[in-house]
Amino acid sequence: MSIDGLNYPALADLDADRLAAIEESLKAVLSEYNPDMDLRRGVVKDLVLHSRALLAAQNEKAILDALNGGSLAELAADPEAAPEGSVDRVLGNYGLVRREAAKAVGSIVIVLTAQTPVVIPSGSVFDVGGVEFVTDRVYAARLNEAQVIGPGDKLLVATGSNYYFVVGVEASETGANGNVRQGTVATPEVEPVNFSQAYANVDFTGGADAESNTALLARQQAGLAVRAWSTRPSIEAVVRDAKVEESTLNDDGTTTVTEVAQFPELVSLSVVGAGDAEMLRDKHSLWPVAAGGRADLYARTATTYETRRVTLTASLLSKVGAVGTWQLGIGRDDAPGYYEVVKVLLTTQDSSSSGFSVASETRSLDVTGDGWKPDIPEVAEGVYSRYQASVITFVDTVTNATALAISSTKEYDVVVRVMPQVDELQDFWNDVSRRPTMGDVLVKAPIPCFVAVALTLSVARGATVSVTDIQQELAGVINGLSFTAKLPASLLSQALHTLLGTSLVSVSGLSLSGRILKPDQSVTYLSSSVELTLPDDPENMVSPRTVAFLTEPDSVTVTLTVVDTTSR
Amino acid sequence: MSYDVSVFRDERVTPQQRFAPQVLADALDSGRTITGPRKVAQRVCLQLMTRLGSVPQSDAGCGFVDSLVLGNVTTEQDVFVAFATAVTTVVNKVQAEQLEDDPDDEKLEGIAVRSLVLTPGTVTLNVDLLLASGESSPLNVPLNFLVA
Repeated sequence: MSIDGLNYPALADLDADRLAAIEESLKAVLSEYNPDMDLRRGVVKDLVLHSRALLAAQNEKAILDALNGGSLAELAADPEAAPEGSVDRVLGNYGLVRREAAKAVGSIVIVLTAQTPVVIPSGSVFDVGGVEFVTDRVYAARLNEAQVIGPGDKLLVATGSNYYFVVGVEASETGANGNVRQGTVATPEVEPVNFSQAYANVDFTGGADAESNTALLARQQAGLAVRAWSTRPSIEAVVRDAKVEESTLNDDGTTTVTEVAQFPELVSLSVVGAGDAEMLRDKHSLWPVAAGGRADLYARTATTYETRRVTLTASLLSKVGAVGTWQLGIGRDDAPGYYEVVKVLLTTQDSSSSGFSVASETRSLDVTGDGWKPDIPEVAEGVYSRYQASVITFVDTVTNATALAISSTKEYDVVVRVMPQVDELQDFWNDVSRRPTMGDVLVKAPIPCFVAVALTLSVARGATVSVTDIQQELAGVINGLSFTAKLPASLLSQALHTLLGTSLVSVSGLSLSGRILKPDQSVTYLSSSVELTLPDDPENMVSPRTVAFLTEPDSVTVTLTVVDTTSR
Repeated sequence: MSYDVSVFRDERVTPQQRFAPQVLADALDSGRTITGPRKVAQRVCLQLMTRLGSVPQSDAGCGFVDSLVLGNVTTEQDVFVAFATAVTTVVNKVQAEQLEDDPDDEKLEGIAVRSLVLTPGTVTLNVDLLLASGESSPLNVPLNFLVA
């Protein structure tokens, strides 16, 4: 029960010892005024004193909780026990505002078996990976481009013997579980005519759980810091405080402009600068010393990477009979700071196709153009930054290249894994009003350690256990880690016990695998059943300060076995 | 000798008044104090008429009122059985509060039923409280409720 901001506990939840102590003190006071009154039992003791003591104990608890709620030390000791209002009030003094829950948004590919116009009403429900989404407007699949007039008109594109179009959706409920991955099957509540299948077109983003007390307190140090390029907490405070204006078109045609966080999903930053072994950019002078004046900002701008589909133009490099080898360039603006190319698809292939794998990849730097840029002497020192570019080759086994001339061009869709907003954050620090006056800042995505988890769970017979929920929970635990040297299996076991409670009998066969894609594009593999430990290889810029554990729910393999827990 | 405050005042409940005033004292009456056997009788009544579990952080009461309100009572025998079931609990709880230095006329030994009369809308339960002093203190427990 909450009154005037105080949370009053239920009378049955009061501490019995404290209640007895209050009752004794009331008896002592009353006995002084009425020494002949029977205070050991009876009406005065049972009806008057006991009731008065109950209310006094309740008041005392509410006031103590409020006082403790105003103490940062008490909040930090047990964050989740503190009332959210108390935490908000205390941390508001440090300029911190709790992040609210948000709904994920994305787009769904709808595949039809025939080229017939269909209409998807606004608010149509799709189940995507167990999460409910609704369309954000009316969509009409059109047969030709002349019919595509408004934002709800979508062209039906041929793909093999089928046709597809794309609709925008928003999660019905807030939560990070709405950030489903590209390719996740989407099941419509009402199937349109000639429906074949539907799936997530891209990684859905924007979904967030309301920030917990623990997470909010973790940001407290950044909240205290001066908003300037100074110490590491200060640098993070500047980025977290960054705001941009967002315009929303209202139904009546007017526009509403609001200020929103520019990097709302920022998890953590790691700054490598003067004197750090991982800093290589300041070690290119004539003298064999670090010259300083450089800082690399490894930014985990989201809990994990996005999988994007980017349309680029390739040129035919060579051919053998009908099979051609193609080459295309990924410019610095196409997928800024991308980690790796997953596959290459024909523009008519849907995301579930296996596509073509990369035959060769050469990374480079693109520091051309106007405007100030940081100094990047070596290519490897700029990998995973927004100045990264590359050239890849692949073999297209589908397109008949027999009649094509060398250097013919063709569009392909390149599917890449990328940490978002690396380019935005670089532009942020390039701004003359903000960049440090004594050096430069190069923003990079964290060096990735792609994690895969496999485990067997024994669950009690009759228990309801969702593999999808387990996958999302474990992926969330891994992706929630800041820059850290180890990923212990015990962290995942603890999360499982918290999630499943008494339904979980045991965890076995837990194996952790990691694949570190270094800036020089060499790969280091990690494997353990106890914990993954990042190597310390600063000469290649690899260390716990530059590497982040990244995963996605599909990389968590769960095997369930049912056991009987009742005794015979 | 110590005294307690009387919780059962002598106001007669009128047909228009469903509940007796729930006050120990008010502007017109500063209340009454009781001693001796009346204190025991009052404690017996409180234990008998309090629903077990209704007082937070206390084990006061018994199941007597619950058995009445459940609509299981239609005859004197029903009331007698309900009372007989509850009386042991009541005696145990009252005796648990007694102290060595209590006067004998404030120590409860047992409870005996003298009579039980069931009339439309009213049950009158007359009991004797047996005290350690050897005397018995009569207790008239009027219970006004609708009988199914």
